[in-house]
Amino acid sequence: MVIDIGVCPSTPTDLGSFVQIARKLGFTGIATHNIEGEPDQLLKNEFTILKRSDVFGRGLKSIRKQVDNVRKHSMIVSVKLASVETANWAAEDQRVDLLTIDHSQAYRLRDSTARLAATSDTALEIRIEPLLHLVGLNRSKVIKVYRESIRTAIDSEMQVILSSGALHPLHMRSAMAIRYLGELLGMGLKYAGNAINQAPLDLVERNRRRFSSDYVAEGVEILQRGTKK
Amino acid sequence: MKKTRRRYLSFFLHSDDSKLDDKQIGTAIWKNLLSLYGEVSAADSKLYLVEFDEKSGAGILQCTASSLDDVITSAVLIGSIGKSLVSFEPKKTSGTIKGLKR
Repeated sequence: MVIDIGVCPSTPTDLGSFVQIARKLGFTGIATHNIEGEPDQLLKNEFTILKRSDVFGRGLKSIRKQVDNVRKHSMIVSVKLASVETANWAAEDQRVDLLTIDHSQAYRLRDSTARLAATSDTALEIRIEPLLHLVGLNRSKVIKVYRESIRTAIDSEMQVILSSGALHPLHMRSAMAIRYLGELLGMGLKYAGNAINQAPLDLVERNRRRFSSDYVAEGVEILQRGTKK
Repeated sequence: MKKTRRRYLSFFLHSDDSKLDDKQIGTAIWKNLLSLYGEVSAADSKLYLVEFDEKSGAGILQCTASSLDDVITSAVLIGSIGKSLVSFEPKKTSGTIKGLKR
């Protein structure tokens, strides 16, 4: 099972063509912000669509409020790296799954943020879409930001996850292709393979457990319910 | 002169335009390789498009063994050729064309 956890169709009607290409490329699921309904939906052809929420804002108060609102309705919650204050809060908060790098901003991951994220299992999300349409100096600048952030994350034992960030179905790439891009960004081929194959799956499985009715808190689960007398 | 080891890569090109020909694809990969890794690496890669089926989008690339990863990375990073969006999907690598088709 391979899931692309960062697909961004502009309208829900575009989702069909994304699913078609994703299946051709060997994915068995995608996560997108542009769907209605349940956070975890299984299509007829054994293809999974997961609901994700991308949270961004200027202040910590605004981000905290958004996370409160979306957590129960989304399989994946991501916060864009913007300021140190919000990044550190998001890294420490166990409701946040991903810290996503915004390539248009000069912000990069700090050591302290990465260490906090490593303790609360928050992963760094790298989207490859900007690399597809930029060339020359602009692409070089994005590669620099990505490579530095990935180096910081790996040194602090923070998990890195690679996603397509596709705005168009043809922006999607196969898992094998993304693995090679991971190598370009400074990961070993094995680590890059894990960042596209296993790490997204682990994240989804963890959140599926959290969504189950027997889950109470991290490490606490209902194993057997008592009978009413 | 020591003979360089060659590698073959089978790939599939997803596109919204079926009129793309082998020359356009070869040039696009070469240009991206040049932009990403520089002139010396592009020259050393000995990149050559062996075959490409315009209808199905399947093709085979040839390059040196040492530059295989760079060639795949460069090809994967191509977002569009001309005005049509493309998605390059590497399938299999081998030392011989026969090995690819096995």
